[in-house]
Amino acid sequence: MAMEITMDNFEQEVLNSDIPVMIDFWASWCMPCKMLAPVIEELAEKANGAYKVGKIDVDRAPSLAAQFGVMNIPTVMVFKNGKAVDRSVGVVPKSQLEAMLK
Amino acid sequence: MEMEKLIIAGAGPAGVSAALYAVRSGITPLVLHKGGGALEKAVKIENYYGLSKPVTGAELYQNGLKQLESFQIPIVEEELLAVEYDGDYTVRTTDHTYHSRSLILATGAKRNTLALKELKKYEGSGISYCAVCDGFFYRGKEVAVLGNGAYALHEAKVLEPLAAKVTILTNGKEGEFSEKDLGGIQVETRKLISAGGDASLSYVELEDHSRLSLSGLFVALGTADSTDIARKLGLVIENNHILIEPDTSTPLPGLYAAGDCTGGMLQIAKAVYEGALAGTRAVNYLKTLQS
Repeated sequence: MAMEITMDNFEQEVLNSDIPVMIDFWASWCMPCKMLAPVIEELAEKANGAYKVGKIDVDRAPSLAAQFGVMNIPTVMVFKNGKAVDRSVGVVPKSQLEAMLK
Repeated sequence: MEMEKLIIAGAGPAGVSAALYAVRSGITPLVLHKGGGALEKAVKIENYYGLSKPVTGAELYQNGLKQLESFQIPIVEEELLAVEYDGDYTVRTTDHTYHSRSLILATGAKRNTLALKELKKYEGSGISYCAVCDGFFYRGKEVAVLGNGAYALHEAKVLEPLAAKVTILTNGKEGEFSEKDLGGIQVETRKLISAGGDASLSYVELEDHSRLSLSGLFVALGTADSTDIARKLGLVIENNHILIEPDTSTPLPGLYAAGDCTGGMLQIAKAVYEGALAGTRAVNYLKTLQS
């Protein structure tokens, strides 16, 4: 299951991670976010230690969204070695998200 | 609340074909339409089955509407503004709100694109296609909506309670709204000549080289087409087309899309085929709900 990322665990789980981390910025009132959620969960299920998947609720952590210039949801970002290296905006095919993890 | 079984948005080749196949399968749909789109602009059509002499697109469109009438299929001429899904579909138009179990999107594809190529690079950093999704990020900020019709006004109204200021940019076109409708929303009719900002969009430049500061620009050109609606429902959009399964279904139960909005050949033949498939599949779906 994708883990919930908040201000409290962002540094430890995302910035200090040894493996790539995919983050889904979402909100409960965003219909496209609901449609993307099962795809994010599927990627989390098959991560098998190669990467991590987390979700940031922009309602709960607006400062994290602001910090990374997220202005549309859903936005999916990939972090490697503490840095944001890729992002996609809107609902995209699973294949595009998989490619971001490679 | 009255619940329709099936609503078909659009009365071009895909929408009419879908309605005919649905009614033949036992479900009378409600058809919403607002003019003939690309078809009405076609001067001469001669590459479609059974035409012994060329017809105009406008004639064909009118024939389609007459065909619906001959099957007693109800038609309403209203502009589609928004669709919401909560297990059923809520379909909002300029005049009414409808509810249905199943929905076929067949309103064609817009040929107009972003006014300026600079705007493209701010997708994800100031440009949005969904006020209800992204308005959150612009609380207390100045935003604009690009468009000049009821759809632009609808998006502006979604943003009005959140943003410090909302301006509709008509880009040289006449605004199709009244003072009364606008309330506190500003209208700027001058043409846009450029846009810019550092990491994110921060201004648009108008034809007299004055700049309008803004933090976000929401695109709502022309009328809300199937792609606009589908994007807000969370369907995958590729190259401005809705990604559908080969049977015209989508990830949302009971939602189908047909015709130009799904890409491929922008041809009547393809729209008629997809419409037929969507109409049939929607009826099959409705039957599964009953059983």
